[in-house]
Amino acid sequence: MSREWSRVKAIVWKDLTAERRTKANFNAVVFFAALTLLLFGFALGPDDQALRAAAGGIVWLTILFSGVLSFNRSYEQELEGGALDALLLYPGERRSIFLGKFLANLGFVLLVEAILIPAATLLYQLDPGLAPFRLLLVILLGSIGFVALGTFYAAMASRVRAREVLLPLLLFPMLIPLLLAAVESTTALLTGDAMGNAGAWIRLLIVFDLIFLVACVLAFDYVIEE
Amino acid sequence: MSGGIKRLRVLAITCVVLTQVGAFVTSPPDALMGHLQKIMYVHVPSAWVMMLAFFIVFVYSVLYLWRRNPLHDLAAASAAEVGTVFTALTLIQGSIWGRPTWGVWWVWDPRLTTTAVLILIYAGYLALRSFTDDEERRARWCAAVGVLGFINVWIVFMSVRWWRTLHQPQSSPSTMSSEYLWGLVANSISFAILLAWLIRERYEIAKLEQAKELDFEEAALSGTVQHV
Amino acid sequence: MSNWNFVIAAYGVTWATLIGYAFGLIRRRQRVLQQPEVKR
Repeated sequence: MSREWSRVKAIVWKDLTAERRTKANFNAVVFFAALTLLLFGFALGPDDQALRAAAGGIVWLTILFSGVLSFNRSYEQELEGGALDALLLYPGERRSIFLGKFLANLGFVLLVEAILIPAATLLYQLDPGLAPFRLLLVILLGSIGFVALGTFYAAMASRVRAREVLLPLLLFPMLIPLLLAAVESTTALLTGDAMGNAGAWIRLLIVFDLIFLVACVLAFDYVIEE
Repeated sequence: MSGGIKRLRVLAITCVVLTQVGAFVTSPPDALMGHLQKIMYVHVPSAWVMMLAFFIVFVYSVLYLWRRNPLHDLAAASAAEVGTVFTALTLIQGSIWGRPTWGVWWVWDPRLTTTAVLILIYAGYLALRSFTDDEERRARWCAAVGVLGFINVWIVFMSVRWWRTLHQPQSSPSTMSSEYLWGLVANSISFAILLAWLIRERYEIAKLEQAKELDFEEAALSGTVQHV
Repeated sequence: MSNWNFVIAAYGVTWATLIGYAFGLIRRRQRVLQQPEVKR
């Protein structure tokens, strides 16, 4: 078990240090996220009320659109260097590859969100102070499901033609339940949760995360094996 | 082999014509919907058959991942293509029925919405199929996508339903009296036979094309091809 | 009743599509069968 964890850690470290070497990628994604937030403001505004009401949806769509840009790249490095085949030669399970990439991608996405969320709070005049911890929980839970599915589908999309459009096409229908739960709980928490719905949606997020994580880990074997 | 398909074709066409004409002609106008109710005799069977097709994709995808038989992959792909046709039809019929009923061409009702998601899942499956060149990889990947997609449809349906009930009191759009039931069941069965025939046709084509492909590759590899 | 238009539209689209698709499949199978065998 600890052998597997050290393998996972090695992959996480490899992916993340590659990221740091290409900090430009991170910056580009962050700027894209900020740009998306602005665009939503232009498209849906300028009524502050309307924007505040739509903020939950806007934030999560922005996370989705910017996050999706990072998943294919996590396989490109292997594609170019042929390192994936080398990885697969190791007696380790494919599972470690998935978990390693999942954690690396999750770290990346959470970092982007660390900038994106405060920016959204600013732009849409949000008040996260009403339920800051549960809000963080929702962001974490939503990101986990998003990144799990994204890491899984990118293993395929990154290796075929039209990968920029194929990944969203495959991924987004799968994200709909997560999107609903995340947006509903975020919106509820930002507006004081008068109906007390947030708890139920958060529990749903946890269930979704479990289902999709298990499904992705199991199915990854079939998708990465050569 | 071709005798089997011919029999299936005849059976499908006969059943469908009988049940469609039978139900259309003998069903009385509904108290609420009037003659609009007759759309249900294409809409309900199409929707049911769409889910059946997707279930077939799921079954053959699981079978492929288990047995690695390329024919199972071809069966799944055939079911996916035919299923997409019925899904598109379900959407269009639902929209046509909705316009005079609710006054709009679209509502975010859980069933219609899930159908829209379903056609997108199918589209992703077919796109992945057409973009992946290696046959073994294509079969494996599509099987994984088919399995996950099927599981997701149910999750989407339940999520959307709950989402809708939170924001709006749910009024079930089509509650019909039981005098229409036999017509729906009969047409659903004949549509299922129709589905079986169409999938079979598509599957035969897929087998033939793959055989030709292998034949050509083999000849090319052995250097004995004469360019036709 | 103008509802008939919708009924006709629904049935029309459905059967035009299904018949067209079925014919397309049958013709496609004929074409593949008629393709010349790979000459060796």
